Amino acid sequence: MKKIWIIILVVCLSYSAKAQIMAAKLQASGLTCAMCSKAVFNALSAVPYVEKIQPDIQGSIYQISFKQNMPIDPDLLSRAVTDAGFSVAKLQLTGTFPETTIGKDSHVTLFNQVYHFVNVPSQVLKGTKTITLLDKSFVLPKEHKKFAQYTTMTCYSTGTRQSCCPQTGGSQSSRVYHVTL
Amino acid sequence: MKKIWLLAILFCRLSADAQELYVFSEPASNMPANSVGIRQQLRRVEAAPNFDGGTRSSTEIMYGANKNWMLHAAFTFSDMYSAYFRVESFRVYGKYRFFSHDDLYRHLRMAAFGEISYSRNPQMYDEISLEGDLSGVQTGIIVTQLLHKLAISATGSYVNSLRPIQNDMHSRPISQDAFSYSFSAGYLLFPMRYTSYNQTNVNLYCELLGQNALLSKVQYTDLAPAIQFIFNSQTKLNIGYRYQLSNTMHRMGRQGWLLSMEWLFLKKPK
Repeated sequence: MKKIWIIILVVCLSYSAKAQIMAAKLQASGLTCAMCSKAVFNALSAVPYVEKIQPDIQGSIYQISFKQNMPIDPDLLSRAVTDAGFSVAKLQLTGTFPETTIGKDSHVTLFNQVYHFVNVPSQVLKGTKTITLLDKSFVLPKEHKKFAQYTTMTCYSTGTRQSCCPQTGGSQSSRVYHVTL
Repeated sequence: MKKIWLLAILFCRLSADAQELYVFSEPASNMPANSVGIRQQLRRVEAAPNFDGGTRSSTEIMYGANKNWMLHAAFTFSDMYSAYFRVESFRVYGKYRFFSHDDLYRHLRMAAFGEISYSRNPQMYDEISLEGDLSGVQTGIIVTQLLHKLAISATGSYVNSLRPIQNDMHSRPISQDAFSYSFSAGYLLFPMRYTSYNQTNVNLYCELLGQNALLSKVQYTDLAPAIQFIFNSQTKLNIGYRYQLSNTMHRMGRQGWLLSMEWLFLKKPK
């Protein structure tokens, strides 16, 4: 009996270990030319968990694939773009989600980070999904302002855990990423 | 004429946005953090009354310390004040971007800059330029607006040559300081559509450059068109021509050419 439980535990842990963010689509703002685009490309390539980037120079869009089994910190992508001299207009992350129940203002620990879901109906996330980041460093100011109407929590404007945030197991980080589907 | 070149040198700088990479002036944008640029410039001032013409070489190294700060250092040598080529000046320049608002394919940037120069050349003209001709200090503000393929900039600065106030041969006071300004426009002409970092970019520029001496009230205004080629999104070739539109100053010359190459070294991807 004990061996059966050990096998079930290992299978469950193996399954949850496969849940990860595999790719991202990032659009930069404040640039038009290829020289600027190349500066952003080089900066993004230097982020430790980035495997490969396919740039769309005309659209200022970067299709990024990540290395496997490395923790993904979206702030590093934003910082790379701002260090190059520009800003992020849009960042979407695509990942394989473990079975996760979400709803309005859910705070969930996923992929070693805390994600606050904004303007999403109650549902169960499972399998490959794409989430869009809403924090100030990942969107144009007007977009960040647009989604502010869907939550009254102060963590939305600060990007850090506030008194409004429920406790989430597994992460002691004060950073809270705000996302939508 | 010499002062036209001096002022042309003063305003020539690099930036990270192609159509903001003005040939005769500096944009408000900075270089990417931890990047290094090298610029080698050659300027020719055409002969004018009491001037046989002259050539100046300027070698400049540029460093993007972070997204807001960049620093330059340059030395020049020329035959503009001597019968032979000689090392004549050294200067340092710093720029701080204090405002940036980005949107898709556009941005508004503002920066403040300061410059200190040492030159061994004698003071001979009303024009005050710190890019080889005179020792002095300069500080100013730059505003740049990028609108897709068009970039426009305005710069205003105060320059002080730190030279003692004295009269010229006609008993006219030579100003110690001046207000300098520029209005620049750049347009990304080619490629029509980006498909690769290896495409050659062609940018066209037109700049208005001027200076008003504060004590003597003499002034000049120059027009400076230029064309720029960017290779592999990393190397620039600039060809410009600057000529006088109006002038009440005693200047070295009235027109001349500029040719420069610039190399940008970005942080290496792993």
